[in-house]
Amino acid sequence: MNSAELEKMLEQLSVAVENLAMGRYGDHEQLFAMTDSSQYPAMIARFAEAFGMMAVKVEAREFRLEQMVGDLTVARDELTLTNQRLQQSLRELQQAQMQLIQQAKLETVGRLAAGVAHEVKNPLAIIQLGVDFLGRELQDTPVWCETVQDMADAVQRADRVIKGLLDFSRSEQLDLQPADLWQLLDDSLVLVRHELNRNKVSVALERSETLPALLLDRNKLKQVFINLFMNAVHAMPEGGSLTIACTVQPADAAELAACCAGQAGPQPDERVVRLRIADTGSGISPEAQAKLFDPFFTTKPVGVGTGLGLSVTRKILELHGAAITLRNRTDRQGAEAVMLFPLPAQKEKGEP
Amino acid sequence: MKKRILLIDDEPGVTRMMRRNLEATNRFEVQELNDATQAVATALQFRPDLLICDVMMPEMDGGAVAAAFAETPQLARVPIIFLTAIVGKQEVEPTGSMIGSHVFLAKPVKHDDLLACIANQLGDW
Repeated sequence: MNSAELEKMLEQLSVAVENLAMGRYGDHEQLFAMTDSSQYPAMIARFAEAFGMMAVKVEAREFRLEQMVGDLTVARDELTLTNQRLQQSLRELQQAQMQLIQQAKLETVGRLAAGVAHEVKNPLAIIQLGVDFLGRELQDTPVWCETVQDMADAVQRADRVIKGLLDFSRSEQLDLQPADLWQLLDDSLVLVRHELNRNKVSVALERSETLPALLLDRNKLKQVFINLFMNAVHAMPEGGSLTIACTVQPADAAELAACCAGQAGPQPDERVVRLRIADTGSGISPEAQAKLFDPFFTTKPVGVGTGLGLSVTRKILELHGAAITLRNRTDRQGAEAVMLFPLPAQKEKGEP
Repeated sequence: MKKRILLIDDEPGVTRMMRRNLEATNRFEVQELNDATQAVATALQFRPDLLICDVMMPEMDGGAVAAAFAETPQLARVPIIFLTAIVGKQEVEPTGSMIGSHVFLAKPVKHDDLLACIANQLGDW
């Protein structure tokens, strides 16, 4: 064998090594041909054979590695999914726990309310009548008169809190009648018209469609609407506009998830009457958002709000099988209340 | 001629304050009673033109007092104003709302509202 032939063989082996290094497997024919010791020097043939064996083993190992990587990727994806599900479950559990705590709080307030209201109203009656009496006796001395007036105002304030408690404890029973939601909204607006005008709040009604009659407790719902209207007025001290819109539509699952709803609340995609009351006020701060429906939570100055309005509102709506969410508007500055009322026919169908 | 008013409430502070206010008008003769079980006996003696009565009392509630008055011929025509701590102010008019055939005032009642309600009940007085 001359050196040119030897050089050629070594060149072929080099190509095979390079191929292996580059991960190009499969083409070992040349290599296997070189293992024929009758045509190649024994040294070269043995090297080619050893190298060929190694190439096959490396290829097989690489293949197994790829398979393992594939398996690992699948396992990782499954883990990610499981993790997401776990996080979702955790969120739901936390939400359920919050709701339970909230419910327990509300029930405690309800139980306490009636008893406390009765016990407090008698002393208030005594103070009220005493203040009335002293007011007449002391009316010639301005500073005494003012003092008595301050006391009278304080009695009225305390009475408002008690009234809120009573509303709360007695919101259990509903007097349900077929009612037109727009009529109820109109009636409620009449009652706050003066406040709206005084605070330069304009009202835009979007009556795009005729609504089916709903089973509602008119008086309780009026209380709800007046409460929401007055909250809107208080949020717009510089004036603004109040938009009220009603539509019949399937309940949006995401919107429903954001709602406080009782056990009998609307289900996703169930057809509901969606009532939206939106203001152009200061909106809801993130700190306030979490506590909106807590009894005694208020952002209003001392003496203006009792902190019971929204918890009563929520309770009344829950008793109607309706859901409510309060949030900031996405289209502009301001807050909106969205309520979802179940249609009566569908509710009946669902019952056994 | 002063009109006679009988005040019944288990809470002495309430009847005392009402009496003080009513007597200050110089138009009423007022008697207080804090034990409702004595309502008929006291009324037969005092002969009130009007009864102002609490609703929730431990021994005998306002409804029972009204029933006892209705069953007593000499008292059956005495108008009754109920005072209650259970009804909220917003549920009754400040100067009294009818619930059934009776007038209700919510505690705490203002003296002027009480006077207006008394005037309504005493009619042409």
